[in-house]
Amino acid sequence: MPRLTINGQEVEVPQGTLLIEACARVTEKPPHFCYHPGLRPDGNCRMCMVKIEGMRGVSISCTLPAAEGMVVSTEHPEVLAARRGVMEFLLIHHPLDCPVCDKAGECILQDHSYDHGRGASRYIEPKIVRPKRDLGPRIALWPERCIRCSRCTRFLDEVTGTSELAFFERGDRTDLDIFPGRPIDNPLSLNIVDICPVGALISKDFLFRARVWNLRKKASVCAACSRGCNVVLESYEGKLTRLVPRPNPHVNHHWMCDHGRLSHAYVHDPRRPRQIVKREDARSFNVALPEALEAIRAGLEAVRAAHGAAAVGGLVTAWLTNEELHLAGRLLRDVLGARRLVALAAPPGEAYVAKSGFRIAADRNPNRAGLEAVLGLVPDDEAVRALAADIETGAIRALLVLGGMPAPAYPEELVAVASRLELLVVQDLVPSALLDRAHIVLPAAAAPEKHGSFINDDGRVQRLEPLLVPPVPGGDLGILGALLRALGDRPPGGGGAVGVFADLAARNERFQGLTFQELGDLGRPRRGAEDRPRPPHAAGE
Amino acid sequence: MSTPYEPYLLTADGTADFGALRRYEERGGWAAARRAVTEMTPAEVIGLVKAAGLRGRGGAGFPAGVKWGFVPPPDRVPGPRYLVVNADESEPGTFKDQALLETDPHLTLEGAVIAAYAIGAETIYIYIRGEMPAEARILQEAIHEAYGAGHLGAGLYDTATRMDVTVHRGAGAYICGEETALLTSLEGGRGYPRIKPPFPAFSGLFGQPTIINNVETLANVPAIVNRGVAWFRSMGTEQSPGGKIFSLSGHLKRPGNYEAPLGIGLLTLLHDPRYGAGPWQERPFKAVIPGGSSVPVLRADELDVRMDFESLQAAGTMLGSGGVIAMDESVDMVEVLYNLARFYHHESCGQCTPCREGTGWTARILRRFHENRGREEDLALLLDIADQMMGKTICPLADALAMPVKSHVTKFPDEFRRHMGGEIPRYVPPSSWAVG
Repeated sequence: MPRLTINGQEVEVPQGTLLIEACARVTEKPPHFCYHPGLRPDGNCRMCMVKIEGMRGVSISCTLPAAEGMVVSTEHPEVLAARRGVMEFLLIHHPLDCPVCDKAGECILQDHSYDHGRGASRYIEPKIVRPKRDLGPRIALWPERCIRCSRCTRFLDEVTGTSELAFFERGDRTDLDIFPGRPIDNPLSLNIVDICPVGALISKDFLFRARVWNLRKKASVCAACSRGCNVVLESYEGKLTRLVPRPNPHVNHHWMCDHGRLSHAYVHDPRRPRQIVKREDARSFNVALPEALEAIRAGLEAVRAAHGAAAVGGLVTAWLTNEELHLAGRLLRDVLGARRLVALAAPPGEAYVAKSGFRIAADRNPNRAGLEAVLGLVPDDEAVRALAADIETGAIRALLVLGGMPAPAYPEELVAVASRLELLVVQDLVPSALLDRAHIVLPAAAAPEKHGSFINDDGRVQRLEPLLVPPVPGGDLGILGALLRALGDRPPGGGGAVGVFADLAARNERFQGLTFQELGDLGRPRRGAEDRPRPPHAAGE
Repeated sequence: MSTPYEPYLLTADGTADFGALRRYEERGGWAAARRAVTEMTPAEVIGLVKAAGLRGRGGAGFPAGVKWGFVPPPDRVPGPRYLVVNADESEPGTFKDQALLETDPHLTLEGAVIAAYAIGAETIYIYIRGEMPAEARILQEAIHEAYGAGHLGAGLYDTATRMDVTVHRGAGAYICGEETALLTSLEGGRGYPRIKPPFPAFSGLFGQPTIINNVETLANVPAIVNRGVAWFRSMGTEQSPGGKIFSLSGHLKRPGNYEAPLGIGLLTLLHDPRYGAGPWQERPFKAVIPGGSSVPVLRADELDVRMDFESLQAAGTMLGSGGVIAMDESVDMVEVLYNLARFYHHESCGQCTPCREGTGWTARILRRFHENRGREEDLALLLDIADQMMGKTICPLADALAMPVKSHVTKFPDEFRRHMGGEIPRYVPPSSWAVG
């Protein structure tokens, strides 16, 4: 544990801590472009200079480990002059097109220019001009903005191991490019847009869609697979505009996959059910929630009176949060005494493990682990088929389908027997054949609209924060609470995510000792799950 | 000097060609390698070279024996060690290694074998400049001869020592003469210098302990083994012992490579009939670059200096590679600096911001001067840019332009002012050299 002095303040840091990180403990992190905590340091931008007593000139802080007895200054006049010099150099060929640049507002070249640059340029020679070009299906390059920090090439070398990008030419002619016929098309490619310190690498999906300072943001979790990458959800004018990864050393480090970023089109799909619908005699009406609840209550009562309590079935999905699953279990098992409660499985996707160890799970049920922990259920199409068989024999006459999923995957057997049901309530995110046959349609809330928690495939309980307003105020949790009330029960803990989670923690040993607040931004392992940060690099430092 | 200096580096006559080995052995060649490998321990060889005080002849002047001593013992860092011979001689005004390889390739090979033995390496890589195809061929033939005669290969001189040599030709980048860029290039990568530490002696080629020595440094080693420390230290100065090849070029009657003891007067080198023999066409000298294009220039009134590491440093310049470029009154110092700036702009690897942008900016400003469009404020700007480059990069290429800029601008400011008013007709350079 070396002890050193930074700006007159003594600090002790773990062995091997880079000086730039040590500085961050007592003062602002020295300004930098090429250094990124998720990548190996390269030391090329020369911005993170500090003055180390006893060493000639200034030294970069991103490649030097903090050493015992070092006396470091981040504000020495030599340091300030060196930063000013680097800033001036970086801007001589820069197009200064911030007004039309996607990165403006979150550009560190812009930020450092304000803090360390000159007001005017002394450069009067011709600037180097380079045309924009396409680098692949999702990424384009504005080469004039590039400061050759090599974050992108290092990401593609170290994290994905695909090495699509390289520098060509030499000196100030150095040009970032792909190899002929080898576009950037790997599952993690959009991370290079995030880590690009300037607006050189551009996501075609986000291009010209919003100025970043107008974005609303919420820390949440990606629902595209069971991995649960930590993300920041960002919206512009009420529309989900961008997902960017949020660092979590236990789950995704600094990264997320392109699939996770781009699989949210369903949220704003015009065909998405947004109204509560009641169907009677082949006619549909948009109804308010109380009327729908009354219809469900009456329908259930009729079925239970005629065929007994066991004539009710339930189907849930892993898009329900732990809190929603807890209420669904209470509704279907405790209040209605349902004959069958099954979980629908999403079709598996492709598993992917990057060179660095970053994983995309083949399992596309985001809260599969929560389903298991809360209800003891496993998503299983066979169980759904058994449910369909019960409907066919008339053992089940009323079915509640809750949660929904972005791509409908109801087995044909279930759709075929749906018309035999006396009451079919379907809550879903997208239209489907089953939805068309429902007596009551309830719009489901999408993951960016939910307040609650998921458990990822490592057993980590992580919070979802709602960025958008769900179609039914209160979302799925509100609908379930209202249903419980309609049936004469009341949702525990007042029906909000915090209260329901507290009830869950009190009743379910896997959640023992956890509170919703304490999950924090990085989540907590559920009881019995391992809690171990993973190293950022596959091959060690 | 009481006894006349006896050359020991440039001793072969004419170009070495097939049969170079026989001629080298007739002059006593390969005896030192045999003696080192069969009679001395590696530590004794390192101790000998340390005691001799041999300083690197590639430019930095670091003591060779000390450098060899940095290689960690095998129990600390296991695996192979490498000796890399830096024959990527590309510094403008320097052509000594080329001469050594062309006339006497076995001298460098023998020195390399002794050095490799000293550091426990069994593999020698010779990284030779791509623009020296003839020298690469001569070297390859010499290696072939040496294998045939048992100076290379397995069971060297009936010991368990093994020695292999591989020649690698560069692809034309000046930066690959910088030792860590050379290693990256040798590994097959883009010629980018590496951040030190780790120093190559700990983690160099393929991550293994590696020593990189200049051709001329290694050419000194056989003579030190043969004739001993006292003989070596009888030449040169206390801190810069031994002889040195000086490459004289420019406006001299006799440009060429001359071997002389370190510490010889620059004026002697320039005027003595045995060396440069005075200015060409008797026009007086205006300026001399004493150690290859990257070191600060000396004015005509500053030429009374001794050519060794410490004297030139005291004079505000450097011995560098020993390439002496003499320029007479006909030379326009602005054009000289513009030419240097174009060179370093062209050769900057582009990794570090200050060098990548600073070399190009400097070259573009000087292009304006060259077109007689200079401004008074450009002089301060040039010095500022040089300050912003100096000592702020991974390797010294930025310094290699910053030092000439500072010395030219501060020593010849009036020449720059002559390029502000359009007095001199515009000179049109060949288009391939144009600055973009």
